[in-house]
Amino acid sequence: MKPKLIHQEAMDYSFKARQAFEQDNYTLAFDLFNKAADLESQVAKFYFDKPELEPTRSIIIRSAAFLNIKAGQIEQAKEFIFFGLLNTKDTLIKEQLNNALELAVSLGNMAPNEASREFNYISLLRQRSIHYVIEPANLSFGHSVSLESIKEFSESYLKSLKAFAISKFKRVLKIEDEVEQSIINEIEKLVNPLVTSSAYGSFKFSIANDFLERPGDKRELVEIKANVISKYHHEIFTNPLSDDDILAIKKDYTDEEVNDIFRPLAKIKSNNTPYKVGYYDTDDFNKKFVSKIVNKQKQKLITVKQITQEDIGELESSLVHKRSGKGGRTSKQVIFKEQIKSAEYEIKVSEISPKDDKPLLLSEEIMVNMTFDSNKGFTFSFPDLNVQNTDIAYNKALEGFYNTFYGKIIGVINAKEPNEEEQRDWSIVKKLITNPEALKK
Amino acid sequence: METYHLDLTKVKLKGPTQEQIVTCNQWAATAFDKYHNNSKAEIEFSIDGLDTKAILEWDSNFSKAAMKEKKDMANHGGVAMAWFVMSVLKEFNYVEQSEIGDGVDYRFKTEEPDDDDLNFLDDFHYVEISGILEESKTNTLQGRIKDKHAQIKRGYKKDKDSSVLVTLFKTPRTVKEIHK
Repeated sequence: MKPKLIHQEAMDYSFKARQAFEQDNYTLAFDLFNKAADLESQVAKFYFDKPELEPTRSIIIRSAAFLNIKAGQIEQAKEFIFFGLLNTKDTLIKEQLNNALELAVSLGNMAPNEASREFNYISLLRQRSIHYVIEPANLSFGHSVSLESIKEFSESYLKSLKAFAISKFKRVLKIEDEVEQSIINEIEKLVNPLVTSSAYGSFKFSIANDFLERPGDKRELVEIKANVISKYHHEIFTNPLSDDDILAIKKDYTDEEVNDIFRPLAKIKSNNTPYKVGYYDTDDFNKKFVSKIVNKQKQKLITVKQITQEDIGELESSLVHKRSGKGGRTSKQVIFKEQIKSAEYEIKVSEISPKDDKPLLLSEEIMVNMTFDSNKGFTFSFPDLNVQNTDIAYNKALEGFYNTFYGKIIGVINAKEPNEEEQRDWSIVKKLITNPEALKK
Repeated sequence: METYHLDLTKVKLKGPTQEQIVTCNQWAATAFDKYHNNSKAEIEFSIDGLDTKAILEWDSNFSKAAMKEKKDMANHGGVAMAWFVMSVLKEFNYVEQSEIGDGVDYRFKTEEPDDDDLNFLDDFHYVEISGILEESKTNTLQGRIKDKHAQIKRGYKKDKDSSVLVTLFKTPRTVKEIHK
């Protein structure tokens, strides 16, 4: 046997298979990967009893394992994976074979052509993935992150990403007016991040969007769809939001687009989220945590819509059946009525008015976040100082917020031996109050 | 200034089939054609610390119908340029490929091993290959070179003879650095 020549033949089939796959010719790709895997398996088995022929033995065994996975021959792949794990001394090859084993287990129940297609699709998705990590903000439960935090992150991330995608699609389709709901629904179907890997503990995961041209897809839309996560990650998610960055964003996007993209993102990056989000930089492989969005940045970015308390109470949708009877009489029947379940907006505040103390004039206006949830009521919050208050009545919620805010300021100013958090809060309070010394007790 | 044709690889490099070399060269040509006219451009080679300028020519006379994906242009085009640099400019006349999870490993030798050599993947020069169509704020040539060194550092090849080889297609520049 001349293993070098057979191996070269296998690699040629593999090269042709990748070309076929890139041209969406899956049947040919499957056939060619199978030919490559059969040849490489012969070579790998030849090396089983030749431990003296390293590193060739380990490299060929790894190559046979991956080619068999790519060909959907999972049982055959496992034979090489297990042999390699037991016999190779090379730590990198062992690590790669462990990854191969993970894949082989997850593809184990599929038919060979289905497994082959799945592996090759996920390999390409992985090459396009952005790698994130969510860690708890404090270590009450070690480094394990709660399902609630993952849910909160993914909801806000998706909202922001989809708003970004809609604004990009609008530009490509040259739509200047409001986008029709049917188009939004279509775009939302296209922008659907897929999880391409995950690990537990602190939650590490990778996501990418589908990149294949499906029947009826426009070429320019496929281009956006395929790259939307990477573009969003670099342009929006990791944007440090310096004054210049904010100016550029305001120039590129309408006020409404900025609100739709950045309001959910501000939630993820606010000071009081119970988790922190990191990502793995593709340039240096280092884990980097995303910077927080502070009130000052929010003020420059978000456009505040003036909504009164009364507006909220009246927001409802209803479906009414109207019928005109004899003599011009009209009867109305409400078929369906639904009151608003949740709402969120910002209010500008320049004075804190606690119930039992004098009002406190702020040296700069702040943006206070108001959320309404039909299950909880009204919540006012100022994430920079981690202050929030909830009540079922709007006025009580706001009054309680002012009291808590005032109490926090007094607490920070009068802290005898400030801890790390109080020191950070002190730097914010100094900017908000002109003469904090006057509030010392 | 020296003039080279990308197809010189077809004569110099052994290991991959002629068809593989032609296909990779076509991907590189598609990438270059995005930014340069008349199938040629002045390119800067920075090879192991030595900078030279040259005229690089390529063949653009083929169908580009199946060569639309930018990522593939950068990847396969990067491989074509690495094969060119190693075989034409550095006299590594043989490359052996092997399969890994998301692609292929490349190992170069100055001489092709004998067909009967059973340990034919021993004693090689390992090269981490990459390509970038054009630089952006987050995707620079320098960043990619650093990234490729880090990949070698993480792997077992850190103690072996190895290099990174990255090509930028817009303002054509190919950098080869020995991994230390």
